[in-house]
Amino acid sequence: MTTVTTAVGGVASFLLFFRAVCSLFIGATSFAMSRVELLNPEGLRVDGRRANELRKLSCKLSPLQHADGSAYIEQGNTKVLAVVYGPRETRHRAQVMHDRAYINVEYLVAPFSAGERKKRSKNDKRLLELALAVKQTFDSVVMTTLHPRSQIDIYLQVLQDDGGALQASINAATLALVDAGVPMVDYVCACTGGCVDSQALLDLNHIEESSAETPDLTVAILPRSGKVTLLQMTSRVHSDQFEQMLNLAMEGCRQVHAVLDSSVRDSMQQLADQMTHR
Amino acid sequence: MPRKDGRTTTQMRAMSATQGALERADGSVRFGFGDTQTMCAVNGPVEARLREEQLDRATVEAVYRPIIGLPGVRAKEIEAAVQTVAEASLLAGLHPRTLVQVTAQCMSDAGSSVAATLNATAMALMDAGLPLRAVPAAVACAISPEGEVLVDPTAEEEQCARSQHVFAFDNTSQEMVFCASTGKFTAEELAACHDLCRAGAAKVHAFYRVALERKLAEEGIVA
Amino acid sequence: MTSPYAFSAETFKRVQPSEYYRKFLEQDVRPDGRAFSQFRKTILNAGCISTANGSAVVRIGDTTVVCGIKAEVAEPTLDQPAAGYFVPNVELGPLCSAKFRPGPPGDLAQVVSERLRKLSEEYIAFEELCIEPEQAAWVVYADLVCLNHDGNVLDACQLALLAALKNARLPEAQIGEDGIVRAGEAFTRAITIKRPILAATFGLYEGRSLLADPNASEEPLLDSLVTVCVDDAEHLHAVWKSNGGRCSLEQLQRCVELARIRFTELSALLESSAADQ
Repeated sequence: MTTVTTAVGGVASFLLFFRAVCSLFIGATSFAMSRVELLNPEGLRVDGRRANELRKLSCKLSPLQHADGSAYIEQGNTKVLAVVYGPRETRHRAQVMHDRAYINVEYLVAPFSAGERKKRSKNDKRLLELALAVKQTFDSVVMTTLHPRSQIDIYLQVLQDDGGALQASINAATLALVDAGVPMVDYVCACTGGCVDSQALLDLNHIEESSAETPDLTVAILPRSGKVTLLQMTSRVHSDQFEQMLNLAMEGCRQVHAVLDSSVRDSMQQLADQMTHR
Repeated sequence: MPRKDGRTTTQMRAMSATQGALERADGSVRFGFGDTQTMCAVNGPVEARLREEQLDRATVEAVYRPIIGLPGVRAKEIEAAVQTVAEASLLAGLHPRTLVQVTAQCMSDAGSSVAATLNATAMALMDAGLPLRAVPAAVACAISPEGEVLVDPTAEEEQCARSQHVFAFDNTSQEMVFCASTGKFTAEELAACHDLCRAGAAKVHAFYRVALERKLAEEGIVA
Repeated sequence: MTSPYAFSAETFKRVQPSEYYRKFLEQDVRPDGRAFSQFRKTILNAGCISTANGSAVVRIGDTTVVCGIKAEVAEPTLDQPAAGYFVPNVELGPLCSAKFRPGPPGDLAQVVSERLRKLSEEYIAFEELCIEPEQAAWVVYADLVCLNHDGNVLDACQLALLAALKNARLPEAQIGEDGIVRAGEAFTRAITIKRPILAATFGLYEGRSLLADPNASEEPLLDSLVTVCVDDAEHLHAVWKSNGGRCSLEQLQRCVELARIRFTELSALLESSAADQ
């Protein structure tokens, strides 16, 4: 069972999200690394969730007015802001494609977002890799042929990282693209999964992600067709467990889709109400 | 109370200016307050890059190099100051879609180096023959821990000062064109510094006139 | 019949931005409806990023800045061996406005960083950040990320920075016999702020009209920008004037008066947000 909320409202509520998170466990800055039990015998994880429970997911469309599209997502303690500009004129002549739009993704991590301060340079390999993963995901989903010779910029800013930053970024980017009115085939919903003692886990937080006990799988799907657009895993896992993890993660993606969809509908309803009352 | 070098509180050090020192630049001046010397070179109007050009005026680009080390954020702040003074004096509307490059290099720093840089900029713009609406003059002052306002402070006086101020004034209207005051001071002290620096700027303007007349006489333009 | 030279308001704003703006000022109002000396609605929220030692989000109108404070232990600098130090870093990327290009920090970001650092010398008690002279001291990193740029970034950054510093909690640290610094488990130690200092920025239009808190559409039209930083004891800590316009002493003094009024407003905001935690 998952508990989810969507957010609509003005300026004050945007800031309330920074505070309205039930943080049962703050970051990973523990000076003494004790062995943490990821799944206790009662079936509860470190933050009190069950193995197949998603973290509290809340989203806000259009928190920033100046951008073409923007979205802010809080998944547990992970906070990501996505801003979309476009379709607009391509900045570099070399990137112009005569028959489709060029998607440019920049993945920015705030130095205070992780336990230890890390000032990542813009050419950090890991960040470029993540940006490329997001770009390839959306290249296949966005109808780029409708906007030839133009550029769509997606900027992802991770403000706080408590595990699952990539999947939260993909969810935020989906919402921001919807907010910008960029035509897409379907939503892209992402979720992470892990496996401990042959029990599959859904939506890993930072402690679970950084632990060596569980593999870390990120999957993004198109919910209507169930097709997978992104699958990332860089740990060792048995093939039986892999299938179990993957199925659970895909189920999590569908739950995420339900939240994103209702958030978009609420936001559009509000917009329609405002327009008819004018 | 006399200062370490014997000056009164409102007395400025002897100013010096060498114009046209660099041959390649359109205008260049080495200006100094006593031992503080700054060299400034101006190139322009030259062609501007597409993304820098403005349709109705010239773009001013300022670069500052400190005396030691690589330029950092402090140099960027001084560049913003140089840009302010250049924009205040230049009739940018006469040269649309062009670029005026101002490069300043600190040669030696014995206090008031920012004011010397701004004065070097103004004189270099004159030396380059660019059309100017006014010629700003900058003067620095510092408030000592005893509360005295010292005009044209030395490096030592700046170090122990409670607050440091740099003001630049127009020569046509005597109005303030640039201001940067930091430290801990009151509004009355700010007004006092403003007035003292304005008096000092009048002396700098007189110095510009003398320096320019001397240069023109050497070149045989003015008898 | 309308003349072929008559524009709609939107077109007029694009084609002749300065004239459009002047028409509003002649009626003693600004395009966004504010009075000349009115600041935009300011919202402050501290303690929102739990991974940072201290954090704050500030929203002045539409300009949004997030500040995160992280403290690390390092060797003190050579010229101040018995004090810690402070490193502010402002990020103004293409995320916050279409004006900024991706890449290393631009001019505005660097100037704002330097001004924040200069101002910090007035209110942060650096000596208290020392753990062991010449061996270990706290280095306080402040990363300010602008999420939305709608003018007047400096005011928002300074407010966010001050709120985040007040909110910050460090662990107690001691240096052992072996020279290794050990920190306690609890984050109880606050960073001492000697006095609150806040910035107020004003713009001058055509040398005559003094406008408080210019937004992004007003900033390029103004010929001077004046920033005044005041504290709670009516002392000034910085006055910066940039852009090439002229400014008289009276106008400067008017800015100081308005800055003091703004300070009282903002310090009430700071107090209430500190009380909320």
